[in-house]
Amino acid sequence: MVWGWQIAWYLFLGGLGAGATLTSLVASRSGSRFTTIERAGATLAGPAVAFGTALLVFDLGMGRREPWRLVYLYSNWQSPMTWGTWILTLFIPIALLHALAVTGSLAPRWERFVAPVRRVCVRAQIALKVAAGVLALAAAIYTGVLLSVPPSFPLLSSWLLPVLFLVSALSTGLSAAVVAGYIKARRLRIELDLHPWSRVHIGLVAVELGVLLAWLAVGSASQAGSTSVQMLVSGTLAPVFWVVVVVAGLVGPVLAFVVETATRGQSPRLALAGDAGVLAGGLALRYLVLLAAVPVLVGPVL
Amino acid sequence: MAITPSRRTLLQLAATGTAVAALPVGVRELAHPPAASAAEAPGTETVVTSVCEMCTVRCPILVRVRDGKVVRIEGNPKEKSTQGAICAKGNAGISLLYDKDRVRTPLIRVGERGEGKFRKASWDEAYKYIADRLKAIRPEELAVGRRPSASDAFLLTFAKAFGTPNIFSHESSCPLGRNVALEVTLGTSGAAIDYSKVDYLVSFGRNHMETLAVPQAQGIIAGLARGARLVYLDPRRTPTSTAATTWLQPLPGTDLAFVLAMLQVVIAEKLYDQDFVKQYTLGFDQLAGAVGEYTPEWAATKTGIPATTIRDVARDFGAARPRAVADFGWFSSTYLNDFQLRRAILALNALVGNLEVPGGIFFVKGLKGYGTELGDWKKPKFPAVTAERVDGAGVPGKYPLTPVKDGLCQVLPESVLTGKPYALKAYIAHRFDPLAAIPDQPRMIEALKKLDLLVSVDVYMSDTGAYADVILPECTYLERTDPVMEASGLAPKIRLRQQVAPPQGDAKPSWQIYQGLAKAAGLGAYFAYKDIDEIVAAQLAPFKLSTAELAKAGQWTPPDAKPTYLRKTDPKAPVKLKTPSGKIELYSAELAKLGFDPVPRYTAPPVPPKGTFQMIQGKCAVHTNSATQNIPVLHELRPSNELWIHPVPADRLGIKDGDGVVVRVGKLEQRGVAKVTADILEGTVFTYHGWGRISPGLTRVQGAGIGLNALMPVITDPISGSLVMRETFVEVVKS
Amino acid sequence: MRTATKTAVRHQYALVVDTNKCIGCEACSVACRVENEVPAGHWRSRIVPPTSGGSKVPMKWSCMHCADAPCVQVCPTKATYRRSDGIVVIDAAKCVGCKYCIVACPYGARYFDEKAGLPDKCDLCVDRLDSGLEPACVQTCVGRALALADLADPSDEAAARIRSGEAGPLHPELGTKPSVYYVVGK
Repeated sequence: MVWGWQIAWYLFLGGLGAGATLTSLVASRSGSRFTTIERAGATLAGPAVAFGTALLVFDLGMGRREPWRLVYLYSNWQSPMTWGTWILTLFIPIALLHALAVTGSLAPRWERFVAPVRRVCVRAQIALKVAAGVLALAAAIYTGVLLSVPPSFPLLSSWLLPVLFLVSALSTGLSAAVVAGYIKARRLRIELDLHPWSRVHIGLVAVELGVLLAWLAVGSASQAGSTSVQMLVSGTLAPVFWVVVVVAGLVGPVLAFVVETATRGQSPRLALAGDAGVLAGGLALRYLVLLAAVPVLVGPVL
Repeated sequence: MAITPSRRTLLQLAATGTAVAALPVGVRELAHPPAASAAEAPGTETVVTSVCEMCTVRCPILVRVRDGKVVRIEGNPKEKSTQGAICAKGNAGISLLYDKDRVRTPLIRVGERGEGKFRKASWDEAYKYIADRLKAIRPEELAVGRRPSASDAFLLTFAKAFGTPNIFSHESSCPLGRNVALEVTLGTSGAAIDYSKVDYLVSFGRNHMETLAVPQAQGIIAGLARGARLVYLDPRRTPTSTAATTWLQPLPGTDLAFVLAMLQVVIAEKLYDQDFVKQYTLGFDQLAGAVGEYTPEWAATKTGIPATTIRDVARDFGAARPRAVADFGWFSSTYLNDFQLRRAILALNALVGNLEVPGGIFFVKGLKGYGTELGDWKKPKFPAVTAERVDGAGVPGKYPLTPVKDGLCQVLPESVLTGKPYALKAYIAHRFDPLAAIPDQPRMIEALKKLDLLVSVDVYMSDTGAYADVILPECTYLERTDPVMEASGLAPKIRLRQQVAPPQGDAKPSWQIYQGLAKAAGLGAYFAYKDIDEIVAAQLAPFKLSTAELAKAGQWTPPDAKPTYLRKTDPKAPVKLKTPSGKIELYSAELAKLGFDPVPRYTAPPVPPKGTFQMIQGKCAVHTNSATQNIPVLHELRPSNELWIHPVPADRLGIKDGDGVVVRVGKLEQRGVAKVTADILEGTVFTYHGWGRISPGLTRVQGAGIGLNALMPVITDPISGSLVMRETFVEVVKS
Repeated sequence: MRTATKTAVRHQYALVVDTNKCIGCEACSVACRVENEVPAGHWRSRIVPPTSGGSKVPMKWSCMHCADAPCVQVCPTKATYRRSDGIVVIDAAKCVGCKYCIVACPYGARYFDEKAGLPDKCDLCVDRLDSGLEPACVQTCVGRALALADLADPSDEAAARIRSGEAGPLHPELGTKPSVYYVVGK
């Protein structure tokens, strides 16, 4: 597998940013009750995806040498990577504009630069929210599709991979927005009730756990795929898989969110610990997906 | 890489007309390097006809040069023997040519022998260093060793001019036993097999598809494709096992039993050509008497191969006559019974009457038989040599059958360390690495250290070079024109190796090296030529052939000489052999007189002592012996060797595939990596020859792999003088 | 050897590997490496040796020039494309080095040239083909096991082996429709 840490981080940040946008949109449905979360999600989405995309560009063999070649990336409608290029090209600015639309003013010396744009964004916020939502969903789904399209790695070839990436994107985006929102709320000394989010998150993590198991099961059907699955559950990658992805990233958070819900918001630190786990697990999952990919054929080393 | 217009243009130039000579930019007609000059536009490609030297087979090649740089070596498609093919090594010549590890200036030692510490020197300084030390010794105290090549003549002229009888080749570490057997039986070692036409070929460890001789392998593959059969015996599975119709796994060293049983069946069931035997052989009755007891049932107990199989092979062999051949092999420095193995194999061939017919064995129709031979450059008469050789080659009572042009290269340490019959004081190793080629490396090191003078003439700092006082960089085959070489087969043929590129750094061709050394040593009169062009012209003068003509085609056969099988049209045609009787000597009175078995008889190979394995070795397809391990491209393909060991003993020793192992003979040790495989017999271990190098000048490969010569003792066959290299028994432990 | 042609003759190239004649000597690997100036440490073509669990014969392994190539499908810049004569090539001028093609190839036939920042692979020696010469591997093969086939030429002997089914692709179940065909079994 020729893709390394840059791609793993991009997958993580891209998913996280998409999920943060969607979290922001869900938060905005409750009026002003969850403004902090709405604003946190919207704020971090653009920069997260932009940073991840920068990593992508640096990973390109010609990305730094001849950056003008990037314009060719838009050419092939059959390629999930072209789809991704279009999606990212649209999503990043839209996410930034969406953030302008829903966040409050900056310090005056910065605000005067963005104020005219912000005015337009606020007026067009419904359109922006729809666009942001659609693009966020696309961004969250296409990376899984990109990995699953080629026949070369049986572990990756299942439709369950895009589903897994989507659910993980929602989950990591939610955690990122909650953590960012909590920090902001603490600074502004306002109350932030996390437990409704914890309740939602229980469902998300449960679904993710189910999709993960289904994905592993389907992956085991082929020889290369079962070698991959073995690497994850009992082989060289097992420690990271079990400790970080499963315990820290899924089981731990579920328990934390259950306690948070049961205590009706009296254990925010526990919930935040759960969110930290979700983030760690989400990053680890992206790394492991690449590392565990065993090729369908044993060919020569070229 | 990107498609560039200039590359397309020059390839189109190469393509227009299939004859290379039609290229507008021209094949070089004279032996000069095609330097990029004002007359040629940059990007233009020249093609030079030449001859490969990455191994000893010397396939014909075309070398493409662009802007003074060699860009590709291809086979010469006009040559029937290879049809334009060359092997991995041949293709890798460029990687050798430009290897930064090559020695590019003369080097003179500054540290202790073996430290590999040298300083650069000029050629004159190096010549003087050597000449001064040669002045201090008697002529016979100089020994020269070489792996024979087209540029042999210069070293040999120097040695003969100096007056030493101690001229060695590497042959006792490779085919000497086979050559002597051929001489004794057929009267000459100049015999070859008509591979592409053979219908039934039996090979005894001759690993054609891995130890590649391109024309031979190609001929066999073509034969197999049209339905010929190959029976291959080897304790190890090799690429030849895969290609063969039948692969049999005898216990190591028992091939002789198999052949004797084949002889027994062929004789008993009258599967032999009675007319041929009567007309062309001597000693059939003695042979028949000797092999009577060697039934397939007997051989089965020796080889481990079922009697029915042995009998079937013998019957198929006999039935396929005369296009049935038992391959007399190449590397024969194997077991003490190897000489008689070759004798028995030649007897098998004689029985089916395959001499001088298509699909059989033929004598090389060289220039000597044609009547006109290559000329030579004029030189004074060599001084008479009264001193005896140190190795007893050609001497009754010692090694009378060993040709004096080869000798026993393994006796160097005996002479130096025991002083018997006298101590050699100086050694010039030309294109030869005794430390890598000859067993008992520790003793050889001791001997080399004791010499007054050690000179290595080579392209790299070889293992011997690391112990040398002076290293003289010979240039590679691509950087020189060599004297015309004979490449005869069914018809006489000569080939010209042409210089393709200027020598790297200060490297020189042999014709210059030994001329310069001779001048410094006061022997310049023997090298009174201006350059190689003059020598080539002198060689071609008897044929009234110009260098330009030969250079254009790269090869030449006298127009009135046609490929000839002496018995093709008339199976009773006279064939006068150079044996004492003029016939194939199934029974050799010469051998009897020397006290050896005059007909082949069985002697068993030694059995590994308890707790040891029999160590066997061989060569791989991407390297040549111990010469190429450091070449970048080839090193990438195979950087090291492994110890092949069967799963059952491996399991017993707790060794898994890829584990580190120690291979031990007494106190001697080599470390390596295990390859656990069922492709080898349980009591046998195998590794490829050529690793375990000690020279720091071989930067990529120094220290890698298992070095067999550091473990093996010197065992010499008393009949031929050949080394015996597969009777080593090793302990293997997990490291 | 083929003769160069001036008119636009249609070709449909394929490669036939006769494993009965292949001895796994890697002459083809080195010829290709030298002819195409492949960087040190990389290869466009290699031999996969026989293994106890896998193939019993050596397998020459390089780009399969698939008719339904995943690399062509996924290349975002269309730098990788299939010529009308069936050869899959890389237009190095358009490539951004995203490596998706390397990930996508189920035959593992591509490598990444770190120094150039570009992927690379066998291109059937298009420069040589366009000049009427055979690919370097075919030309150098010791056993004469390799043959360039032209399926558009009804008299082409190698193509006949493909048409007759004597030569078949490697792992056809992958669905990529390779243009490299192997004769396996005597």
